[in-house]
Amino acid sequence: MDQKESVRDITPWDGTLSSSDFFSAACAFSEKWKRFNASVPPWLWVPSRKHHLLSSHKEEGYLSLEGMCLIKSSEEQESCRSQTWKEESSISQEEEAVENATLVQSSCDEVNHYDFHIVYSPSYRVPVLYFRSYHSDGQPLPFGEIEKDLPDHSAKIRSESKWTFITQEEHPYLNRPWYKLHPCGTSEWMKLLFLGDTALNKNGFVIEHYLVSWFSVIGQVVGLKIPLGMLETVSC
Amino acid sequence: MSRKEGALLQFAPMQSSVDEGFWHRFSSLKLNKLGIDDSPLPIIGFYAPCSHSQVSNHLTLLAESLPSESSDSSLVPEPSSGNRNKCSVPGILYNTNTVEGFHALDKMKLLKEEAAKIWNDIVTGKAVEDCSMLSRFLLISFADLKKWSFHYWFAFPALMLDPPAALVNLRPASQWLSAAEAESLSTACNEWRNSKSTADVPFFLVTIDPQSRATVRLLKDWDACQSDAHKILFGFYDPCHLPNNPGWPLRNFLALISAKWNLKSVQFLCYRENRGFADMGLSLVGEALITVSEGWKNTMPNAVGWELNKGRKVPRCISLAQSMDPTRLAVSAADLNLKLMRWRALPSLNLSALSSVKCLLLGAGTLGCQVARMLMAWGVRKITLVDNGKVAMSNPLRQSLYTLDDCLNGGSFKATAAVESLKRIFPAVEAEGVVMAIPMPGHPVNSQEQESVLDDCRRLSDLIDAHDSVFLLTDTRESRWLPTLLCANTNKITITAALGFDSFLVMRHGAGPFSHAHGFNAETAISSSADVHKIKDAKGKHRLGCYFCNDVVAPTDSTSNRTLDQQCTVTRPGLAPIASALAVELLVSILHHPEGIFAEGDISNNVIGTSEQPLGILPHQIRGSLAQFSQMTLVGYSSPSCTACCDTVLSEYRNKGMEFILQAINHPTYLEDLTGLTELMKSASAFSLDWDKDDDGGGGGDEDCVEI
Repeated sequence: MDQKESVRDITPWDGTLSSSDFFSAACAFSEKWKRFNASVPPWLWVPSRKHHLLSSHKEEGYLSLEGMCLIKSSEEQESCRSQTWKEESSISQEEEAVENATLVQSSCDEVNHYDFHIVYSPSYRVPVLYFRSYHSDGQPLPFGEIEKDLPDHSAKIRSESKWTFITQEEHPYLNRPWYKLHPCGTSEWMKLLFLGDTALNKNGFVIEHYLVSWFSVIGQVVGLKIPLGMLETVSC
Repeated sequence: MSRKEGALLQFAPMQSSVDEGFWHRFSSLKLNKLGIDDSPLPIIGFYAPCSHSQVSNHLTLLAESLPSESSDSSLVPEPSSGNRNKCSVPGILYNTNTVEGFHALDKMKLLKEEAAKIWNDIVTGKAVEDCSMLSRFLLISFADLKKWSFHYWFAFPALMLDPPAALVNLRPASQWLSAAEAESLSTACNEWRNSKSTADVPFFLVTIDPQSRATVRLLKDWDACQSDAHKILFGFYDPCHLPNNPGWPLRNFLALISAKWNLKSVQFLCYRENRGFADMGLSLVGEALITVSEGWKNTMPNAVGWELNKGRKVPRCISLAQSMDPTRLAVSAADLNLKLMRWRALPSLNLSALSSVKCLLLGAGTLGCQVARMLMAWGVRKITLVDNGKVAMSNPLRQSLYTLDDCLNGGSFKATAAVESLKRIFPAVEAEGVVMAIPMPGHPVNSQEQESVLDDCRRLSDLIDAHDSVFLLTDTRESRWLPTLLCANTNKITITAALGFDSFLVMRHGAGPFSHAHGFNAETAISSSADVHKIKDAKGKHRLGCYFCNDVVAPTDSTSNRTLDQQCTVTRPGLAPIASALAVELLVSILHHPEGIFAEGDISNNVIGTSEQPLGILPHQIRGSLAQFSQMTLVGYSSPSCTACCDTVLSEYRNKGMEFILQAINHPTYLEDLTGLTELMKSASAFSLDWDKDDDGGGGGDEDCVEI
């Protein structure tokens, strides 16, 4: 069979994928990630059901990568974080036993923790990257702070491409505001990615590779690198 | 790296981390279940061995640390088990209902109580059975659910050895163990960590036999470890990453070891990982010397453990208003909506102009309600509604801000009810209601009412001054006269919407004749060409007309002597939403036009001429007919004899102020005389022509609606 013909037979792909395809793609993605990217935390599938009344046979959930740490040097710390507390709630010296066995550290590096979730959007039919950041004590970071952590080329990508921008919306499963990369342009550039990649074209599009390709673009905006080994689309 | 013998063993304090989700669930629990009940609440904390060479792990509280809301009976959280990244430890939460209560809590007493529980578990042997009891913790808090801020303070009770333990040496495990031992121990630990039954057991025993084989066991197997000539290590999950200090859990572990097994010299293993696997380079092995007296274990030891906040013994505070306050969430959702419009369709959208424009709506009826809603949809936040009426029973059907409740007990004032309704829709709106009647020509006032009418005039003038854009949405023609005059005098953006039975007019008034808002314009006084100034605006262009420019009679009383059905404005219901929407879109277009109020009037299908603005054309007038389902754009220029906006009238107003207004109100022919309309009419009737009987609008027939 002529390979070119088989590709032509396929109805032009619109860049989207179904919810069950997302699950297969997610499994493949996290598998590959573990293999090629062992030095960073793994992507874990978190099963979740949104509609408790509807019984769904298909696996519903999202991919989660939590606990990425970004260590900020002490010069970068915001002094506005310190609270001026009246002493009414402190403990006087006589009350608590005087003791020296507690190590007192003079200054600590501030650490920004990042959590990333890849969630399927049924209305756009594409994956969406959600993320949030917080200090070690749990205090969430405002977007202004997060922007400082993003790589330089991220701002460039976001200003140039009308498809890539960060918004704050309610996380579909956790019901709290998370930041996300808006999915309105995803199907468009996934389509372009597919058309432009002759390797993908030759074998017909294998849905398992969707997330790897998708992440190779999205990851850049938030500074998550994808190892080259993962991008090999030849059977593996 | 080893330490000198006898140096004080210093422990790195446990650090707390509270996930946002914990506060969300706690708020919900408090609001829905607990109410003002402030009895202590059992909670669960989670920690795991350090997994990063530069970042310590924390004792973490998550949403699941609290009991689930749905469980109707128990207020005890469900413990998770077998999760290697979440070793559960029991804790207790004291939440107060006031900030004073929070500060007044007896912290030393609470710490002592929790420490006593740990000591009791040690003495009775319960801690050996369930070792996570050794890391029991205490949390006090005050949740301010109005401001969405949470004051809190953790304590990690640690029983003090007296005298404190001394550190003999401390070094990486890979240096203390032989290569074979290290490998065996790594394997054993990894198995321990991968087995569901032991993954979350944070304290354990390690025995190493002479063949370098390491075994990891539960604490209760202590007796089994005694028999052989093995090396024994007391191991624990160490959340701390520091190379020279063990973590906090070791404190109570040593207390247990001394009290239960009477050891003086303890070899301990600070178990730490890297990327999920045992790491003998990060893990530490040390030797501690315990020199407590014989009777030490007979009495409850002292305890320390309140967490420091940046080195100070004060509580912490976290503000979650950004993610929890519903008003803020509504505001950011609305902003997002508009931003998306700008990003994807209209890059030149001026969101700050929309959010800062101050709009005055004269009339809070069918048109006023719709205009207000549309304005909010465009991101306009500052809206003032003026209306002296009350909500009547028939109103809620057509006036979209009112419901039946507003009609009861005689009816609320429309201006007030409208503002409340707007705030219910979007709490961040800055809306104000003014209950006031607009003085109208042709409705004469007697001397007693005079002062209050003048007050209303002044008040209206002040309102117009204080806003950027005025919508004329009343139900009579004459009520639009005074506002039109005042707006023309101050060059405010003025938009009129008027309804017929099945037709509508939406128009923007042209600029006024003067260049600055107040003060007599000397130029006009000494001008030679009176006509030029009557029709040109401050920029010298031919002014667009206002609502009255095409009238040949002054506005007069159109409401008396009408039958009942003529007195109520009866129009096809679809008209008001259409006209209101167009009125708001017209405003948005004006705000985006570089010339604003001075922009020329476009007509649709005009291929040549005015440049394309991103929002499209900016018409002067839009007239539509539902009978035809049609709409057309028109341009009309200002009339030099206009009773509301011509130079003569405005100069008179500037000269005589309220005197002039009063005259116009009491004597409508005054305006006609002043503007020369009287003369015009006389000369028109001087022609003797046979006019065909015409049915076109104007003064004939249906007076049941406002003449367009």
